[in-house]
Amino acid sequence: MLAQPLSNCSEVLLNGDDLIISKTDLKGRITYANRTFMRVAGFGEEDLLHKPHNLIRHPDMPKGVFKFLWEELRQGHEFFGFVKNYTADGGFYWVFANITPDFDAQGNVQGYFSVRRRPNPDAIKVIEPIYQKMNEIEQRHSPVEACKHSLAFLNQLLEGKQISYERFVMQLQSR
Amino acid sequence: MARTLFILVSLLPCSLLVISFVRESFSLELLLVASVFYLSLFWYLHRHARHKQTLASLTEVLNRAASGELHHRATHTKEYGVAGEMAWAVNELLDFVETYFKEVKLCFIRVNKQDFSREAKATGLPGDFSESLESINQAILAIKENLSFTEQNSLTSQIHDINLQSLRADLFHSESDVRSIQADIADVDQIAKENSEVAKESSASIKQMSANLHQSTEQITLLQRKTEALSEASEAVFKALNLIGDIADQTNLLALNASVEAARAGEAGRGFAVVADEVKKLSNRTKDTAAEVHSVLGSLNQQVDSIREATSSSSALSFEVTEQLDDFLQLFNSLELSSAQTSDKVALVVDHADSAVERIAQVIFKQNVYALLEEKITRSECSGLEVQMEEIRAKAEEFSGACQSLADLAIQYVAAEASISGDALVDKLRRLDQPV
Ligand SMILES: Cc1cc2nc3c(=O)[nH]c(=O)nc-3n(C[C@H](O)[C@H](O)[C@H](O)COP(=O)(O)O)c2cc1C
Repeated sequence: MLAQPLSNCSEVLLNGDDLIISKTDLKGRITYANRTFMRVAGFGEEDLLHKPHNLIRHPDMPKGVFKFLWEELRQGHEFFGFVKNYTADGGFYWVFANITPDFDAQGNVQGYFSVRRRPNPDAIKVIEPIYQKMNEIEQRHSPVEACKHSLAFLNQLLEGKQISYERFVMQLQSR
Repeated sequence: MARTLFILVSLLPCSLLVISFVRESFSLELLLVASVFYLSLFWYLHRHARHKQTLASLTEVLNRAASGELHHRATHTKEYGVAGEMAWAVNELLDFVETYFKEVKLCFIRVNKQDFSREAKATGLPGDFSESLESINQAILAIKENLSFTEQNSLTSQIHDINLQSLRADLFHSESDVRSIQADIADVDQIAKENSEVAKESSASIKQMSANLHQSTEQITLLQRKTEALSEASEAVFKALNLIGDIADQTNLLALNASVEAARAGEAGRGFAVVADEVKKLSNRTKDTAAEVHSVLGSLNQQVDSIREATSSSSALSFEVTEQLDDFLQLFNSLELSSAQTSDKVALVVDHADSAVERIAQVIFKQNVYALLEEKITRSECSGLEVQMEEIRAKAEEFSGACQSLADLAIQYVAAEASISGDALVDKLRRLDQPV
């Protein structure tokens, strides 16, 4: 399926009650994907298991967002965010993702759990230009510096609005 | 048993093949049938094994879930028929259960830190799951409101505390202010009384002065009248002197006539002429004496006139002074009156100040009683409150029945001598505490 040419560029829209669920190990390799995931993304289980999650990464997503995501997870926090993903046939879909650490009985992080819901379409209209700007900033800097600068832009934007990142995305989603 | 039968049956085509080989009746068809049989058998066994594997991993997942680890899933179950379907059903159930619990847990981790911004996301979860999350969100909202209410309460009670403390201090100051006013007023009263006394004394001495003056005025009048009489008498003397003068003139004329007659009579009349001469001399002396008396009387009259002038001006003066003294007298009388009135008013003010002091003292006392109650309620253990309680107990004796009952109630409550519920306490306080 991966070998298919990326011909279809159309958007796949989620239903209101769709829950896309996946789990990864500590390195972000997929250990489980539910059937909604497979249906929406167009992958089979064997295409996904043990693959890194950036398999469905869309180039419109700024690196800074994922850097922030991993920083939050490493601190044991949960992460909320709007994410654009590739489908197997080159299309894309937007989700409102919530990623949380999974703890074993001893309280150690043993993997991550992600639930994605249908995003508020108005929120996408707000977030898309922000991501675009972040991408532009990232392209102007060396890969090592890129995330620092795009995240600085994001923080500045949030400071101007006097709001935390999480409140911002949650408000966008619930508008 | 079933296993033996299964082995025997599966050996059947093989033995048939061996027999046909021995009997030399071997045919390709037979070989084909046997191969198909064994291939199917192999496929079946393989599938069976995968089924078992799937079911085993499913059992494992369920057991782990039952032990509280919800994050395990059964994977690689594609194309395993009913077992595969079951695996997906279990996976999806676990997806819901895990998502549900994660939402609940993550919400409450924040709620515990008093962060109410993260609500449980119910979207995508079916039926009971999402309903339950919605109710949790409502509960969190209620907790939030409750907390802000509690915070509000604690804020108002802190403000109330500050207010109460400054109120007690202020009242204390008011009390001492009123007390010093009382002292000042007592001074004013003293001064007013002294004024009244001085005014009384002054008016007595003025009366005395006025009486003395009256007396001297009378004497002056008497003197005036006497000089008047004197001047009238001297007038009469003047008239008498004039009469004496006239008589002397007539006598002189008579003497002249007599000497003329004596001269005409000649010698006969010689002796008579001597007498007439003597009479003429006498009348001249009389006239001279009268003139002398007249001039003495004239200077006497001058003296009398100057006395009259002096007495009349001193009588005018004493009249003036008497009027002034009367004015003074009136002044001192009204001073005495107003001092007495001041004294009366001061007595009234002292009364008011007394009751103000008493009232303030009662208010302070009540405030202390309430402060004790509040401390008891907010601290719940009453160690350290004994001193305050003793103070209140001792002070209560100075006050009226209502204040005493209030103090008794508070002490009972604080010492937990009688078990009084909060509501009953409030009820009793309402009934006991009347404005002072
Ligand atoms: C549980 C979990 C789910 C993730 N889901 C996605 C996803 O849906 N899309 C995506 O692009 N990255 C996702 N990521 C992040 C990827 O692991 C990766 O960091 C990201 O795609 C960026 O790839 P890169 O590091 O190669 O740039 C997920 C990570 C975790 C831990």
